[in-house]
Order: sequence, then structure tokens, then C-alpha cells
Amino acid sequence: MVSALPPAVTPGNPGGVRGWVGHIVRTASSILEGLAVTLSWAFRRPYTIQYPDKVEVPVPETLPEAYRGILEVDLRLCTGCLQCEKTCPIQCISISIEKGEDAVRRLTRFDIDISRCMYCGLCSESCAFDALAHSNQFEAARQDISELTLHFVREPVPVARHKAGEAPPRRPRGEILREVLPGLGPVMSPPARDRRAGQGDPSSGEGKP
Amino acid sequence: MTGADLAARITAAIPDAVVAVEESPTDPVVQVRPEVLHAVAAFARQDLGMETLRLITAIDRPPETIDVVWHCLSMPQHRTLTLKTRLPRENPVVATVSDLWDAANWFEREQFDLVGVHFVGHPNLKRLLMPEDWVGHPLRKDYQRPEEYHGIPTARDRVVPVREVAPPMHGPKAAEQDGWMLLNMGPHHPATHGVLNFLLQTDGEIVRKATPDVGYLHRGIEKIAEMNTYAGTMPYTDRVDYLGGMATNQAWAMACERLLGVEVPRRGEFLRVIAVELNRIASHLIGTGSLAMDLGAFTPFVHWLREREYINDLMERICGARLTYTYMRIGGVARDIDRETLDRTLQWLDHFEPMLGEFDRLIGSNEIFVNRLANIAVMPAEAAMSFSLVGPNLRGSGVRWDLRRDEPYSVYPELEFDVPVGRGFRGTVGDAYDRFMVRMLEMQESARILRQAIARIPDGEFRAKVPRVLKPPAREAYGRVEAPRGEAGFYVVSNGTERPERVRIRTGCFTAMPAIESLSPGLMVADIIALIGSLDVIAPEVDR
Amino acid sequence: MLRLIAQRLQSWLNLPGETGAVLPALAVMLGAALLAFVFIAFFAGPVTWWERRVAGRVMSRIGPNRVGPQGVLQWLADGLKSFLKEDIVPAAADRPLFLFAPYLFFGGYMATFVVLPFGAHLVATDLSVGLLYLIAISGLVVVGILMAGWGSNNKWALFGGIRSAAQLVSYEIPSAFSLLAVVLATGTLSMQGIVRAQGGWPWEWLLFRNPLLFGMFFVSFAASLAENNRTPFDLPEGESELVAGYHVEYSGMRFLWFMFAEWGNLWVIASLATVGFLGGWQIPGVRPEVIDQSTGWAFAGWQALSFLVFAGKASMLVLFAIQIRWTLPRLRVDQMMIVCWKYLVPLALLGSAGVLVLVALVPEGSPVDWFLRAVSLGLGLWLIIAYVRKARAAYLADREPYRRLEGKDPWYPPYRLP
Repeated sequence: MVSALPPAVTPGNPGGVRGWVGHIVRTASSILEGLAVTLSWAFRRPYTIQYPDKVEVPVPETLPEAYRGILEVDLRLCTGCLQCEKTCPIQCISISIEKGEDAVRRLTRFDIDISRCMYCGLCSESCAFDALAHSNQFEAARQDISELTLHFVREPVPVARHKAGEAPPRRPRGEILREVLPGLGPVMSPPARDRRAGQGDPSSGEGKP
Repeated sequence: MTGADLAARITAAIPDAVVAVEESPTDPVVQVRPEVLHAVAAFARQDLGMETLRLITAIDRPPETIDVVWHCLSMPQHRTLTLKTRLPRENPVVATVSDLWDAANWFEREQFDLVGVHFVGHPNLKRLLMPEDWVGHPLRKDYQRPEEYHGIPTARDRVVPVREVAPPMHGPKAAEQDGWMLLNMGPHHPATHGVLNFLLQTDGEIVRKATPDVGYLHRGIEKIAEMNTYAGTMPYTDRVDYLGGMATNQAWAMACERLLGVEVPRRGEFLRVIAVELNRIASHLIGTGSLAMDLGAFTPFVHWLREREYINDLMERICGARLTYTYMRIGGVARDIDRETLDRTLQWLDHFEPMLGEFDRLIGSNEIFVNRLANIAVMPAEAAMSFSLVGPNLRGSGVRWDLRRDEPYSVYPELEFDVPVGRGFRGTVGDAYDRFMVRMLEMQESARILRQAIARIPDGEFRAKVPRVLKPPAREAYGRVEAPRGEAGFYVVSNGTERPERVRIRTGCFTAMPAIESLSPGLMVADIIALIGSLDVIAPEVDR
Repeated sequence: MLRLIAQRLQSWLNLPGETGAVLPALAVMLGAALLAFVFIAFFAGPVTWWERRVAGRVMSRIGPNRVGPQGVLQWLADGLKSFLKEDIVPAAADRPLFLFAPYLFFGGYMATFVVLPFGAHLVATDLSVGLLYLIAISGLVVVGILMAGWGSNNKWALFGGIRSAAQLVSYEIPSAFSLLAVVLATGTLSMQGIVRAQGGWPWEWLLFRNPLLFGMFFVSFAASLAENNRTPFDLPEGESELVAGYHVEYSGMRFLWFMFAEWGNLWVIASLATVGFLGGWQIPGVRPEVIDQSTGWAFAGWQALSFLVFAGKASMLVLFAIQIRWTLPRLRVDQMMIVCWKYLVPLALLGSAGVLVLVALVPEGSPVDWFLRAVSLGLGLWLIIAYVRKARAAYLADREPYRRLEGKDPWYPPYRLP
């Protein structure tokens, strides 16, 4: 590979009139070099996109599989092992399990405080059943911080008891999240958001099941 | 030289100094009596050639003792010496070594602040990170957090509207002496790269003294790590250096692996190298770009942000996050890498390497830029070592010291790369332009490493099997890597439980701050900005 | 009510004559000021948008493109926003100075428009000492900056004000000397006279009259960049050093006055260079006498055409100044002084002395004169060709890696690739 940078050590500037003229010439030529680079950029295509409203594909859909967005739980898969709760370094997951009269363990609470969550991925890694996973959603700004505590359990659900390989497939990423956190999407000023909702813009996530 | 040899040499010079010796392949520990500590340190500095003090750590071990540990290093001899002494907990007093190493000044202030060890003879033993009127020493085991500080609650659950709080004015209220003007550069200033404060005493445009005032971003990661599990601390290490999270991840993982005796699979090591080198380029992009921006050229910075954005996209594919990676795990990495990502990395490198030349034409060899940096804030090699500068800042002073080469870890010995050092590219060795140029050349070397690593990456496991609950035996380890901003080190002391006894974080920027203080007199206000930019100081690394 | 004000004014100013005579005069003055303001707004406003668009493209961004087609009305939106913002006066500020400084700053800038010839007859007044007036009146700006810097009672603002004073006073000298070369070559101080001494075609411009004047153009341009606090001489503002320099404490409309004048000044720089070196409004192939003798619609047409020629040349220079701003870093204070006193002042002195010799020895139209014109024209062409070739090389070098990607699956998101 040829070095792109000039590693040469430049000698000191000679004094006197030669140094004076040399300095002017060097300054002028280096400024010309710089101007040429900026001029060439005026003809190259801009790199940026116009997030959030003028994009061809909503940004969450372009994110890779590995992306660690807001956490979501598929309760049909959760066995209530509490591994995620234990692993979380900041205790932003809180799970309650109650044993009913019929001796069935039921999840009564599965809350994730995504305003505390630091998206480290330790919990989803510890989940052996792929119930807790990162979605590809990230646009969840809210006016009130308490809205950012996600309550995944609406009514008590019995914990899952699947054998390996028999579990139902996970629902598509972000789908569960839309149910617990309505109005996912880029933040707009209130009137703009209403207008978008009225038009049923697919990227706003509203109007979808 | 083993610990016994070192101890023997110390004993020969100062009889009865050594209490115990712990052997270790990397860092032999010599425990000495506290009374003779200064004599031993002076002996180590002068006769054993330990011209660098890596770290001072105080470890609170209730109920009776506080241990203080000095990590010394001799770069030419590739030798380390760890001095340890045991102080009574009620009255922890030990002699200062700030007269031997310039770096000791701030280390001792920090340990005084957080653990409460008194270093006798220190010229300015004041709190460093906490406010001066803070009560207690947070890293003591029996420390009780106060509910509030001047009306500001310390817990998050109680949210108080901003208007109701009248925070006290911080910072030394230095008088305007000798007709000098006192100027607060920060905590919110465009050139301080985060929340840093410099108290400038200026004579017109000429700075007579610049006193750094740090602690605005002190989050107490060392304390958090004590309350967390070994695996659970990993996400916090990203936040130590938000531009070089991969390297701090790796340092933490290495420290824990040494404690546990875990071996990382070869593929895992290669993945680590790929991730860290990409991260190094990303960090240097910000470092060099923001230096250009500090000097008034905005465009180069935006161009480098664009290149960094490509890296962020790659990182997203590698680990799932753009900034707080949390990619490393104890025993390997979190996810495997796919062929597609590797191909894209190569494609991006094809684009990026010519861009380095373009950047150089745009700004790097611009005569104004060169004249702003050349011969400014010259750091001689001797002083750089005494101040414990690390990484590009040290290499800019002409010292060829790179942990990847000199304390080999991971698979770096198999890879071929140069260690660029400052050669006085446009002025004196060790000036601001050399530091800038070393970063530029390092990006090129990182690109070389990336190409080799991608070509040679083996198949196999990427993560060793480690138990779910980690309980290392009671010992200590100092895991350190060459981070973008120099040595990122985690000195971890375990106690046989799930949680570490003490975690001490060594970062490159912490030692750069006193260097700024010593380099500043006589510079102009605009040069201070060039100096901060050329040392690539970021505030969270200083405060942690 | 108005009559009352007029009466007061008259008695206060101790003016002679009927009360009624002042009122129309006042109205005319106000009207003229308003007209001038609107005229200037149309110069200064769009250039803020233009600058941000150019900066965007140079930085591989898009730039403001939401207000109006391609964002051309962005400057109106910004102005409206600033107008509606709260005008904050710091409690510790020196109130009268703080409040008055922006107007002085703006006034100094607005006054330069009096003598700028935008077209064959589009000039407010063609003073016989126009150039001198322009150099003198732009000194008013430094008073405004100093007042702002001092009145803000902020050390950063003070730094900005003092730097600015030092800078403006120093750079007046190379600026004046390089314009002296123009005066020597044309033999007049009147702006229209300078334009009429040149011609429409490039080889008739002063720029390509001889190599010395060619050099003087760059000296003059650099000095006027410095006088108007543009990068690389933007030390008084220096946002990464002084936060915002002398206008750090200003907000709302007062802040807008500074910005307004700053971008308007860009036009003044460009107009001055156009008048002095680029043949002003001269239309290639049309003698000024033709315009003078035309009447009616033809006269108006010639005016419009000459204005377009002028605006075209000036906007190219504005573009150049903008590009310089987004390319170069900032000088340090002492370097700024060194550039002035050790480089620009000697160059300007030598240059104007050389021009004097050439003007005295080489009669216009002689073979030597044509030879000098050819040399300087060649110099200019060579510069432009070298510049464009370098830019083209940079463009192609970046294209090459992407050539290899053709046919492969693009990176996500695909639109990020050049």
C-alpha cells in the first residue's frame, strides 16, 4: 500500500528574502490545494439524508439484524426464569410472578424502564428462549419520563413451558413494542404529528395492527 | 527481572524495606513498609530506571487497613515494578512521590479525594473530582451517600425543578493577581470537548497560567464497578471513553480474564482486534477533525465525521450499537462477525485510505494549520514520561512505546505494523503538529492491521465458555491495552465474591491534564485550544 | 403628532426655516433609509442562505433547503425568527454602549453603499473621492465592534473587540496601499472613474493590466477579508476560541444587525474588488459612451445589463470568499499581525511603487503594455487551470473506489454512497 500521507520531515525555513518568498509561495500553494479539495466536494453527492421525513425507507427498517434498539418481550416465550432481571446492571427490568390457585405460575408484571436502560444487550444474551430481545426501534421520545416505563403484561399470563424447538416463532421485530408504546416514530411538533397520523403515513407506525 | 530480584535490589539499597513479594508474569509486586516508601520510590526512579508512574491506587480494606499501590514502569527496559504498602485505616498517611514523578501530583490528589489517604509533603493536596466542600471519601467502603448537596438531590427518583435549586458557585475563587485577567474557559466552551473548565490567568492574549478544573463528568464508575458484577460492569466501560469504547471494553475483559484465568479463542482475539482498530480510526478521526475545527476549519471535521459515520454503520453490524458498543465479553466477544461486514470494511478501507491524503491536502499540510501547531506546546520526551503521557501524546514526543508492540497482547504479535513517532515533522519533536501527525499515521497503520486481520481471521469459536456467575479468587490483575488515547487500564482487585473489591481505571487523558497545566504558561489563548486539541483530551476519560 | 416631533427636532437642532420644511425632509430621509435598507437586505439576506448552501455542499451535506424552493427564503425565516426573539441586555452591561453598538456597526456598513457603482448609472452618488470615502467610512465599523466588546462587560467579548480593533487598524494599511495601485493606474479616486478607466473584456481589466496589479488584487482581497473579519481572519469572532467574540452577549434583533452587516460586508468586499480590478459593470464590447447616450428603454436596458454584469462578477467573488471561509483554519493573533506587517504591507508597498513605475514608463497600447497584459492573463489562466485540474483529480480519486463496487449490493442505506 502506498502511503497517502507525506511522512517526510520538512527542513527548516531558510531565513532572509528567500525564506520570505518561499513562505508566500508555500502558503499560496497550500491554500490552492485546500480550495481544490473543497471545490471538488461541491460536485460530489451529499452524504447526509433528510431524517426524519424525507427518507426513502424509514430508518429503523435499514438497521442491521444486530442493532440493539428498545427492548421487547414476547410473553408467549417467556418462562419466567428471571435471568434478565438478575443480569441487568442497572435493574431496569422488574418482573413479578405469582402462583395462582391452579398452581400455574403467572407473570403479573414485566416492566422495562427504557429511560434507564443502557442498551448493553446483556439481558437479551442471557435469555435462553429468545423472549427478551432488542427491537429495531429507537424513536421513542416522550414528554413525560414515566411513559417510558413499558408494561408488557396487561393481564396475568401463564409462563411459557416450551420444549426446545417447539416454541412458536418470535413475532416480527418492533411489533410488540408498538402495542406497548404507541406512536413510535420520529418526533414531530404536535400539529405535524396529527397531520401525519391523519394521512396514515406508514413510517409513523400508527394505523398498523 | 522477577519480583524477587527487584526486592533483592531494593533490600540491598534500603535494608528492611521489603515486607513481602508477590510474583506475577506481568506485574511483580513488592510490598514495602510505609515509612521507607519515599526512599524506595526514589531508588526505583533513579537506580531502577522507572521513569514513569502508571498509577496510584488506594484500596480501602476494612476494618483495619488501606492499601496503596504504585505501578511503576521503565519503558526502555520493558520492566514494571508494583510497590505496595499497607496503612492503618484510621490514619492513612504516606509520603508523597510527587517530587519524583510529575504524574503523581494528580494521582495523589484523586486518591486523597476519593479514598482519603493523606500524602505528606504534597504541594497542593486538595480535592480533585468532588467539590471542595464535599464531606467524606466516596470510595471508602463505609461511605454513606448524602441525600442532597446544597439542595440538589443525589438520587434520580426525586426530580426537582431546576428553578428551585440554587447550586453553589464552584471552582477556586482565585484573585486576579499581578494585573492578570482571570478567564473561565469552560465548563461550557466550544473547545473543551465536553464539560471541562480551565481557569486562565492571562496577560492580554498571553496565558500566564491555566489551571484545569475537572470533575464535572465524574460518574464514579470505579464505585459502580464495586457494586456490580464482573460481567455487569462491561457496559460501564464504554462510558469511560465514549470515543474508544472498544478499547476500554477490551481492557476490562483482559483484566477479568487474568483474574479468572480464561483463555480467549483465536477467532475471538481477531474479532477484538478488528473492532478495536476500527474504533481507533473512529476516535482519531474525531481527534484530528476536532483539532482542525478548534483551529477554525470546520469542513475537515465534517468530512471526518462522515468517515466515522461509515465506521458507525460497520459497528452497528458488528455489535449492534454505534457508540456504546459493549461488544467484548469476558472470554471473547458478544457476537460473531459475518463475511458481509468484513467485505464492507475492506470496501470502506479502499475509500478511506485515499481520503487520508485528501485530508492532508485539505488541512494537514495547509500552511496556516502547520504554523498554528508547529513548535507549539513542545513536550520533551523526558517530561512526557514523567507526566505519564501515553499513546499518541507520548509517541508525539518521540518515545516509541506502544502496548501493542511493547507489552504484546491479543494477536498483535502476529500482525505487522509500524509504531509512528513524532520526528519534528514541521518543527520540534514533541510539538502539537507531531501529535497531530502521529494520529494521522496511526490511522494508516490501523488500516494496515485491519486488512491483515481480515485476511487472516480463523474459523472457530469466538467466545470461551465461562460460568454464568463469575467468582474469581482473591487476587489482582492490571489489564491494559493501547486505546486510541493511550493506555486504557483496569486494575482490578478481587476478593473471592461476585463483586470486585476495588476497580481502578487508568486513562490516557487523566495524566494529560497536568501536562496542560505545565505547558500552558507563555502560550496564547488560541494556543491553549490547539494544545487541548492536540492532546485529544475528552472530559469523561479525565473524570470517569 | 408628527408635526410636533418635527418642531421639537427643529428647535433642538436649531435649524432655520419653516417648521413645515423639516417634515418632508424627514420623510424623504426616512424613505431613503428604508429603500436603502430593503435594497441592502436583498443583498445581505440571500447571501446567508447561499453561504450555508455552499458550506453544506463543501462538507458533503445538503444545507438549508426547506423554506421556499431549495430554501431560498431561509434568510427571511431567520430574520423573522431573530426579530421575534427576546432582546436580552445583560444586567452588568454598559447599557448605552451595548444598545447602540449594533446600529453603529450596521450604519458603517450601510454608508459604504453610497458610493458603490452597481451599474452604469446605478450609484447613489459618485463622489470624486469615492474610494477614500469608502476606506474612511468602513472605519466606523471598528468603533461599533469596540463598543459592543466593551459594553457587553464580558471578557470574551472584550477580547473580540480588542482583537478586532487591532486587526482593522492594521489591515487598513495594506488595503489602502493596494487600492493606491488602482488609483495610480487609473488616475482617479472616483468609483465610476475607476470603472470607466477599464473595459469590458478581461484584458482590459486592471487585474490583467500587468503582473503587479494581478498580485495586488490578492493583497487587496486578503486585506479586505481581514477588514471584514472573514476566515482566515475571523479572530474577533473565533467561535472555537472566543465563543462568539464581540457579539457573544447579543440576542434577537440586535444580534441580527451584526450578522446582517457581516454578510452585507461580503458584498462590499466583492464590489470593491470588482470595481477596482475586474472592470466593474463594464459590458464586454460596449463602450460606456454608448450607454451614456442611450435614452428611454434602451437606457434602462443597459442599466439592467450592466447591473447583471456587475452582480455576476461580484457574486463569483462572494463565492470565492465563502469557499475560503469553509476551507481555511484561523490565524493566531500574532500571526495575523505578522501576515499584515511582514507580508501584506511590504507587498502592497512594493506593488504600488512598481505599478507607479510601470504606469510612468509603459504607455497604454504600446507593445510592452500588451506583453504585460498577456503575461498576467496567462498567469490567471494558469492559476484557474491548475485549480480546476486539482479539484478534478480529487473528485476522480474518490470516484475510483466506488467504481469497483458497481454491480455489487450497495451498502445500506444505498443513498449514502456517492
